[in-house]
Amino acid sequence: MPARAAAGAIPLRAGIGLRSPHVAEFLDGRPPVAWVEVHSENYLGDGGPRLAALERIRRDRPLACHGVGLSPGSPQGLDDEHLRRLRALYARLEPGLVSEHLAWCRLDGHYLPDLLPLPYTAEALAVVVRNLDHAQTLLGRRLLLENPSTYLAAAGDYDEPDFLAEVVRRSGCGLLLDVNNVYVSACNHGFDPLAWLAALPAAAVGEIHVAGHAACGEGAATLLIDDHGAAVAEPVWALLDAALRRCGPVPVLLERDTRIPPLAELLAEATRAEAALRAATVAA
Amino acid sequence: MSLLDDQRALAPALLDETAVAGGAWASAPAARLAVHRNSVRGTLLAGLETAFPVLRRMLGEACFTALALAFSAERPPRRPWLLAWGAEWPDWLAAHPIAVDWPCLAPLAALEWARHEAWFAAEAAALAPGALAGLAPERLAALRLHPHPALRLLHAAHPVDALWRAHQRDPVRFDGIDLARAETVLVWRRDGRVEQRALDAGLDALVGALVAGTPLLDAAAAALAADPALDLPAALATLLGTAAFCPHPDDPPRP
Repeated sequence: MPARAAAGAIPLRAGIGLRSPHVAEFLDGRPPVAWVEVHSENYLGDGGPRLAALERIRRDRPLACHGVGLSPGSPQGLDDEHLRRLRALYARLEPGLVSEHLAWCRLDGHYLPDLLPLPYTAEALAVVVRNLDHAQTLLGRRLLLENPSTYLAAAGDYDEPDFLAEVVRRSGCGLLLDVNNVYVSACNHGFDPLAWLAALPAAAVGEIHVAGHAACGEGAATLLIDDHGAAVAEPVWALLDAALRRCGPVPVLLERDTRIPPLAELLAEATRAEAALRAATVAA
Repeated sequence: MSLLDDQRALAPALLDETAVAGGAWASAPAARLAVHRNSVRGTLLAGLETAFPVLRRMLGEACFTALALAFSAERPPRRPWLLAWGAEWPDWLAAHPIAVDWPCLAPLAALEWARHEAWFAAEAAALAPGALAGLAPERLAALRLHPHPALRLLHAAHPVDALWRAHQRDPVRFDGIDLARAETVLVWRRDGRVEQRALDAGLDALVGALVAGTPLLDAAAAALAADPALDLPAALATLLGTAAFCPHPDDPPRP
């Protein structure tokens, strides 16, 4: 059904992560937001008001689904019941894009709700590719894989962009480029975010995330934390411009998960993201 | 070490702050490890706070947090959709030493979990209040109802509905609540809202029989046996007004 698919496609505009404090405004006022993204796992119940509200919002605008629980970095494999639920949810919501994280959270049948880091080794690469193959087959669609914010470092065989490039080449997945994560990791590990961007397989990027972060500690001991709890920082806006120059125009999403402000504040930030996107579109 | 060994060496330190990470992460600075631990524990705590708001109010933040983190470390989720996690907490609380002094805690938690499940239960068309009008008497007598997916029926050894309602007020008021009184509570969802009510002996017997698939006439007889003074038409009107029941799939109420 091409017409239906076109209606659900994510436009080259700035979207906003849909969070519960703003749901009523989306239902009542139809705010000027081109598209929204939700965390898939929040909608894996059998039914109820939360899912019903999302279906109503989805009727007015395209939707992207952002999974936080796939755990592609688990050597024990994925949870097929989880995948079946995701498949049913995506059949119901028809998201224009579906993404997951380069991370792990599932171990010995238990689930640790965080995006835990992987050492970028040949073994981890094989695990991630095998799991993404399985997920993309079972979901019947291509996934975008997001680069993580990291705090811990382990010895590996690859740099992060090279690891991502190999995952893309071997699994056929796309990338969700989170420029805040690039900035946070660059500060935490002392690498150059522009060099990181230059090494990324830019053609695979299908979506960009921007978000705010927190700084913890002082001086050389400062640690940046990806808490999605503040306005987007100026260096991250600059990195967005650089990323759009490198990747060409792709949909940009503004994320905010803690200390959620009135929707108007997010709309103002989305307008700024959209201006960056327009500038990149003109340049392209 | 394999990737799996490395993950097993990291996981304990994420749930328990006294555990240390090993493997590839053995030299991780404590402050950096703490970012992940805070994220894991904070997310699990927030999940329980969402599902058990009255328990949190009853216990206070410090006590609630201590119990929630202890439960999280012992019984971390088995599925990545957190809205399904917490079902085991009432039983865990019942077996915890705190239950000796607070026997109401676990039953109250069970009520909150029933409300949480009702919120996320599947959609289904409830029996309309007027659906039984015009049925022939023998059809009415033999009619079976089907519990709505959001229906939950709790038999508690303590007055959990009264306690729950006491905690909706500010300040909390326990006036006149007999903590030794047993209560049956019906939970349902109507128009996107979760509702509940305590059932007296007659309604308790009626709902229990209907949930078990008993035909209406026999269910009514059971209700009258439990409470000979029961106003049966009023009880049925109450039930049909709740949206807690659906037409039985094998036995829809057609005249």
